[in-house]
Amino acid sequence: MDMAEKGRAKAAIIGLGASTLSRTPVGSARQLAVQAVQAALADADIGHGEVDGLLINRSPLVPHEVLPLKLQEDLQFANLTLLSSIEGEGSSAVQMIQYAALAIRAGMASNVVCVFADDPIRPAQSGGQAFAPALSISGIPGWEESVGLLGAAGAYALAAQEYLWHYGLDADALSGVVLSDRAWAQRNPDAFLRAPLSLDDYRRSPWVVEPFRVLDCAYPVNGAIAVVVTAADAAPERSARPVYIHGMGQGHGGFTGFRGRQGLTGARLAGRIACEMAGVVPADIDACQFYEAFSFTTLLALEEYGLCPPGEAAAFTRDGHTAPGGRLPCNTGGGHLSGYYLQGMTPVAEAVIQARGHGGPRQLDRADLQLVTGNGGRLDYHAALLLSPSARLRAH
Amino acid sequence: MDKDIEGGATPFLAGLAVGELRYARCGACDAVLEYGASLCPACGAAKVVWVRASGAGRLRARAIYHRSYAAGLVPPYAVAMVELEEGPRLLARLAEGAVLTPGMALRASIEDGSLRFLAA
Repeated sequence: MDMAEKGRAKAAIIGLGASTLSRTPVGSARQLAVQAVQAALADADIGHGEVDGLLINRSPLVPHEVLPLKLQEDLQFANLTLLSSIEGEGSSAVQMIQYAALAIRAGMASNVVCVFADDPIRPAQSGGQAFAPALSISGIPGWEESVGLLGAAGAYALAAQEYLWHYGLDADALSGVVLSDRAWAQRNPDAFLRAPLSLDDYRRSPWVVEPFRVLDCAYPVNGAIAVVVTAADAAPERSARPVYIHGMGQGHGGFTGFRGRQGLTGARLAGRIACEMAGVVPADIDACQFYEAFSFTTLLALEEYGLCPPGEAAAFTRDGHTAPGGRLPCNTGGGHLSGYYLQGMTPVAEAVIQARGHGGPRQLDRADLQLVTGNGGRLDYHAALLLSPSARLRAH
Repeated sequence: MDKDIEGGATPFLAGLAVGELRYARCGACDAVLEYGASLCPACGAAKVVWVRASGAGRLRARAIYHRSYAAGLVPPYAVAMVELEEGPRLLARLAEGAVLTPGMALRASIEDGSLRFLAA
């Protein structure tokens, strides 16, 4: 079977597991990873000895030893035929699932566990401090520190401000995403920020790095999430509700500004390749789970993935189209802003929950085709998945 | 061209030390390079030539810090994305108190090796 065969699943996710998720220290990232893997294996009802692949995603802000390859020994997976740590920063979680699918299709492994774990909140470190190191966007080593562009927020704020200026928008343009995420979080008992939120509440949220307020930024937690990927053909025997992978794409190129190029980031490429592989067009997508460390990334993703015309995502979100009852539900668990920030696994987990019909009060009426995205660096590294509860997509 | 120094971004910092704002061009095809480029995206050559910029540019974005992420960085302060008139984009500090408008014309000022952009 050709990897590019359209409409037919490439692989399937058959297990999803999470550790304790917490705003206080509850164990090391390595310990949390073990919890999540154990939960994912139980969910997949797969034997410990059947696991032959392990892919690991640690936060780009921590050193290798926080979540090392030795996790294999913690987990006592003695017979792995696939083991690697994936280095795609915020796109790693989606990339792990892509590489798992590719390895399975190539015959290198049968059941691949993909895990992300992080513990940014420690006794002597707040979540904000954990994300304070500079993101490199200047091309000049050390230059970010010398101009004071510390933290991811500042680097993203520059891209957001350029976008707002280009389209003549004010900072309220970001509010639609924040309010939409919160409306979904109110329907998700596992979301961390669930209090009702109005536009006035949003406007009272203090600035962090203008144009971002506190509420425009992801809500960090300690925790881990794992999934189990297996062959599409084997999935129905293993799981009552497999989630099939139909499209996979990557695109690596950072925010270029408005200089006449087609597309502003590599997300344009990632989306095009994923859609071609699945044999669909963006209009076929029922719901999106975006990587949105900052509210602005959802606006940009809506446009770059071809779901909104350029410059119209702010109005689209403020009109409620991504919120409950809207025509393109996005970040349906509350996303990174109101749900929880476990980097690329937040959108992956929510997509699996929705595809399985396990969303409870937030369950979508239609989740036949979901877009899941990863975004790393400062809008530099993009990866996308198209997921469905169906092994075969209807012909477009 | 008044400079012909190959290599990474060090020539940029060396330029500031002598009061000069520099940017990079391809020594093979003369394409303008972004900061950080070691190969030319147009022709693939690995010949980076550093030249003096006019110092004129436009404000493409600014981020205003309302929190301090490090001692010595006292908020509020603004960091700008400046597009030099030659083409490359440069992250930079703005002079205090400037009224900032989208696309406004700026000019570089280097004092004691420290770069700031002022309203032109």
